[in-house]
Amino acid sequence: MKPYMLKPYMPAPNRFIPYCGALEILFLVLIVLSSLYIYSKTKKIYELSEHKGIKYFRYGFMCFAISHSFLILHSMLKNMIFKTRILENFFLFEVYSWIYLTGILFLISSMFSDEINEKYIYFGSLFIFILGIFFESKFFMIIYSTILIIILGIISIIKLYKDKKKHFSLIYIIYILVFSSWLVSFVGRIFTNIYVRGNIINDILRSLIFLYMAYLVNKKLK
Amino acid sequence: MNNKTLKRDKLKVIYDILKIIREHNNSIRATPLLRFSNLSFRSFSEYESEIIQKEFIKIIEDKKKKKYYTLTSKGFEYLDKYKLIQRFIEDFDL
Repeated sequence: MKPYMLKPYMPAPNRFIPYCGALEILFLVLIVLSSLYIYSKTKKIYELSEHKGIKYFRYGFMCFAISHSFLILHSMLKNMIFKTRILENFFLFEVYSWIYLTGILFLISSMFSDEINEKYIYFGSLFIFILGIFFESKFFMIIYSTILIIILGIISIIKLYKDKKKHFSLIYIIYILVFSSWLVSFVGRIFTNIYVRGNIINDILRSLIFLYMAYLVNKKLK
Repeated sequence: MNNKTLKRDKLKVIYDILKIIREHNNSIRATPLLRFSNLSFRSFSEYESEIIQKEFIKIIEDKKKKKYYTLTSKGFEYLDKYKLIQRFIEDFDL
């Protein structure tokens, strides 16, 4: 009996998948390095100004560096070292999601730094984390991301309308970051066999955004 | 005037105070500094303690025990980087 007769529901083998682990790690390392670069590059201006917005901006990128380090570990355990799915369940993905969302919250708060207290950001992210653990994690992420996309979309439109001459805003970057994750999670939920490809495209897009941010920070602080 | 503008003003006020000290050969007494900075006594006192605490300025005494404000290396650095900080805050909407 041929193997496909035994499991007819299984997707056809994809030659692209074995390379995804290494590629994923490569792009994640780029994200970690870019985030750490932004964090260290803005250290001096924060020490001099002690501006809350700069502080949240830096914390945001520190969160991204830590969260993506967890994702590297998660990816290594999954693909490289043990080639097993057992270690995936050690909350590594949940911890990554939580710290990544805290980073997103810090970036959003950096734009409204006078109104938002640091404690609320930690409390908010912890609340989301608990909800994420309580409900099924990936499904909750989609719901949360969808709400966030709607809110960010409204802020972006207001921003676009207010500052017509300004082409760059941090809110657009945050929007792309959240939207790409949302798209991959959403697509992954419906079509699981293209999830891997979607994920790698998301990693490429995200690493490009982080490299662009590192380039911008470097350019502004030259 | 919203909070964000006030925050920017705070950075600007510190810049102005430090600039006045630099323009007076890095040595100025409290009364002229208060006058040139266009601040009330209360605001000036708050900014004074803040910039002393941040080590942007230090107080020195001459032989007659008269007190002068003088910039530290960190104060000079703030003056150099102020426009950069301001542009960074504006460009990234912080």
